[in-house]
Amino acid sequence: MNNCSYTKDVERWFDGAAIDSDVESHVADCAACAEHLQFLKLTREAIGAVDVRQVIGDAQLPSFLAGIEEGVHTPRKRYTGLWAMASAVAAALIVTVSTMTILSPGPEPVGAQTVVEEYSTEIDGATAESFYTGEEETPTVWVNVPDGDMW
Amino acid sequence: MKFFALMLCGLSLSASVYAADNEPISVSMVAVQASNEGRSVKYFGEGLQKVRSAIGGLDYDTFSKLTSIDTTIPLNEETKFRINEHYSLYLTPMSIDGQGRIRMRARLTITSRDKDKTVNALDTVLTMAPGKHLNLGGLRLDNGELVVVLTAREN
Repeated sequence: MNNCSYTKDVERWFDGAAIDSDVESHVADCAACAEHLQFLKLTREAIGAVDVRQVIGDAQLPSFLAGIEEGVHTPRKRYTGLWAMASAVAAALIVTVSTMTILSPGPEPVGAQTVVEEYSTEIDGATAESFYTGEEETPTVWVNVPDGDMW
Repeated sequence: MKFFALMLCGLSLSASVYAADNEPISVSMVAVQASNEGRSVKYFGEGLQKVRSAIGGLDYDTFSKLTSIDTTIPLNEETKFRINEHYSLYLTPMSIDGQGRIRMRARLTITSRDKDKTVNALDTVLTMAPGKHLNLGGLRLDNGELVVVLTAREN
């Protein structure tokens, strides 16, 4: 970056403006301004090398500026409605699945066994007992009735 | 609008939970006469396929169905099932635990021949695993003994 106070004068002189100060002799003494002047020359040559230059005519300028204005100020398209709906559907799914999971009896829990808490008989002389039978260990409550007529 | 939707959702959930807590109990009862007739292979009469695994381990060789019923019964009420002219089964579901097990009282009653006296031949309180069998039996029945196979499940 050229911090020399002659920089603006150098640029104006380069563009052909009438300058009071002796810019040319300053550029010969100031390495920074000489470098800046070289940069301006190279830039001009590079621009001049472009085959087709787009020129915005005066008639096109209002449309050109309007396009820029529109690009700058038009709000970016937001998908608020779509996202809101997707969120609502996701929330509804979560609530539904959670509710079904809570209310569904589901598979039998491991260890849910039948428990015989108490048993008795009022038949005279009979006794009651509890045991498990068969391959499935079926709980069984049994009355052992004495020989003879129950009644 | 949102408030009403939330309220409706809450009411629906409450109604579902209330309904689940108050649904009756599904009960299956099969009354079987078990006897020993000298068979080399155990014989199961018609209609006993569902309970074969429950009674097959008992020390009898012949099993015949007397009666059966599949029904629903209410919680905290005693329901009577007539087996024959002498025997009846009374079931009173009392509660359902977190594992779906049903705590119930089961009474097998016998009525005397002259029908002037009925006693609890077997009175038991148990907690039944849902869908699993339970045998109640040992009471005399003609030439064999009575076996009642119970299955219960929350409806």
